[in-house]
Amino acid sequence: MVHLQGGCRLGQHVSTPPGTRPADHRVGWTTLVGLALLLRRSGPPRVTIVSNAPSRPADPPQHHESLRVGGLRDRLVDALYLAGVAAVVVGSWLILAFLALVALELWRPVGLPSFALIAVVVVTGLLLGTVLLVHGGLWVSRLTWWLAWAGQRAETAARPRMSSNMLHQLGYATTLLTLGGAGLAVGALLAAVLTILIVSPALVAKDIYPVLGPVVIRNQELAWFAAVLGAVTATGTLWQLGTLGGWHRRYTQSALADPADVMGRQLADSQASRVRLNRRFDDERARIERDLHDGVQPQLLRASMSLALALEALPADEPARTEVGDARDQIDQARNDLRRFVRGLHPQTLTDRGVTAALQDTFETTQPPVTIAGNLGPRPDPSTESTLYFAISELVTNALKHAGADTVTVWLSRDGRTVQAAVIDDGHGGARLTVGGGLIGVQDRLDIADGTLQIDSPSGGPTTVTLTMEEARA
Amino acid sequence: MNRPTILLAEDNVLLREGLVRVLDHLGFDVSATASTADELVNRSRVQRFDLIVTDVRMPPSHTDEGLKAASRLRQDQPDLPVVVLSQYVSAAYLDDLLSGDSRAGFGYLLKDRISDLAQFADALRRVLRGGTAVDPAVVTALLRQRREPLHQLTTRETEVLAKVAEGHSNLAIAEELFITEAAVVKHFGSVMSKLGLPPNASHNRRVLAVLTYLRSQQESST
Repeated sequence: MVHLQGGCRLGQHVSTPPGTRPADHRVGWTTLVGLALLLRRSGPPRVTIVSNAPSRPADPPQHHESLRVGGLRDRLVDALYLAGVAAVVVGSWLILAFLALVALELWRPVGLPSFALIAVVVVTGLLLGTVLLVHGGLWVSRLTWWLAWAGQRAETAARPRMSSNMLHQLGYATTLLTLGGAGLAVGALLAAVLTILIVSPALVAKDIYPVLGPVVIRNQELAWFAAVLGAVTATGTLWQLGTLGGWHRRYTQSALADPADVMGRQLADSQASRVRLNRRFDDERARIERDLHDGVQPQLLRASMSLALALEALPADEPARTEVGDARDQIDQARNDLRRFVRGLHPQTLTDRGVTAALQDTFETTQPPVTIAGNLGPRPDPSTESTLYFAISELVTNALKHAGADTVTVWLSRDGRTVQAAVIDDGHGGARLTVGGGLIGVQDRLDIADGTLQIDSPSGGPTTVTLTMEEARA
Repeated sequence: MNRPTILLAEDNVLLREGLVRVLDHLGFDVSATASTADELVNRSRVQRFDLIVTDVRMPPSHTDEGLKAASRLRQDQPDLPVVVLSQYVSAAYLDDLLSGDSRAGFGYLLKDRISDLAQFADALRRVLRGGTAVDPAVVTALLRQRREPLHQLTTRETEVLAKVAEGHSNLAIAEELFITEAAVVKHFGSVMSKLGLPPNASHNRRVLAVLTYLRSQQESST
């Protein structure tokens, strides 16, 4: 009875502000969540760990896998994680308490010694204590870090390196032990209150009336109500432990990760995403080209044929002939325009015959003339071909427009998996990489393909722009 | 007079139907159609046609399967004339038609040419007779790409060379350029010697020689 009343008074003390009658469990629960949130937002700068699925750009998107939100298994794992962390916190405090007791026991026989002895003992104790605490703190961090990654699904995230910064780890350990300890105390209190609520019918049957703040459970009806309330709350809280565990796990994962490592991963990820994005642009261009080829272009051609047949059928002196003829000419003009547009999107020759043929077709009628020379050897993969073609096209167009050249030459070559193209013009030189200029666009394209752009353009010319890239691995 | 029979391969329904009407109007008999390259090859194996007309781009891969099928057919049946229709000018496609030792005529025309009915009919008939018909735009591209060796030709010689490469007869060239047939022969002889090509009795062979020359110069320099 005494024990029980004590427990209940404790509940009253912590969770019930005077004058209000909130249900105990609710205050306890929100406090716990509040603490969890606080814990989430404190500590060293937060680094989000981006899921880093192995980046094979050719694969179909897989995010639905990594975005899948926790099922029962994940909840259970997260709750277990939370239990593990609680064990670490409780264990740490127990060890601390034990050490404190040992220290006191050691101190007692010394009695009242001289100042020198006190100084020696204090200094030794401080040194020893600090070393112990630091090591303990580091171990707390290491253990929690291990827990945070244990039981993670393989595809959820790649595990970054743990931060090797000692202050970082100690800071985390201190936060965990203090705030986490407080959280645990609140949790324990909540557990006690809920237990009392649940067993209250049995207690009341034995004439023990639990006191919860201003509420005294004095009859069976109230007791059963309390029991149901307690059971529901307990179930909900247990269920939410998974969520809480998930939050804390993610916090630990980001708080203790090595920022440089995480950043490196993010960079690699973003590079892979750029490659995918670029490929999607290429695919999209090819799709538009296909749609026009299968849709609008045949329709226009068909209309043109019909008009040609109509023109044949009309007598020579028919006035409408002019109109029909005009209509056919206009349709043919539209088809020409459309063809030029489509060629810019993705030349059919590039798909069929490769870079050299496509460049020859594209620049066959330019003034000054463009010479395509050299040899690419075996055709590179489509993605490399596309990058090469569009980059070279841009360089040649640039030279034709701005260099004031009499001749432009494209020299293609290959060395193993390395393909190279040099665009040489005898213009006035002075080509530079400027924001918004054509060259920077080429640079961007090459960046994605891990290629390089080298510009040799002295004032007065000639200009040689060399682009080098590795053929993508099959 | 018998209407020449044609096997038409075109995957686009709209164009196929339009081409059937145009060819019918021009006095040809489209006795069979195909909508894939495989169908084209299979049909031409079971039945004999006077002329094959095929699109370059065909399913399933929508690249140059029609062209590949056409050159395969020319190898299997060396006396089967083939006309390839293309949406785009690309001199590179000529190689497939020039390779092999088919004696029959061949044509490589842009689809644009279809709506000029007289020209289209003329090209088809030329191929039927065993000649060649290369789209003027393709010839222009060939000549432009090989500026260097053609520098030494006079304007008139270049004009004659272009017309010969397109597949026109000496008489047709003479009429079009308002010169005598003898002048055409003289100009062309001069072209052949300037380019270092052997003078040859057969007009068709000379056309092939010129086309091969234009393409091979292209290849050897790239």
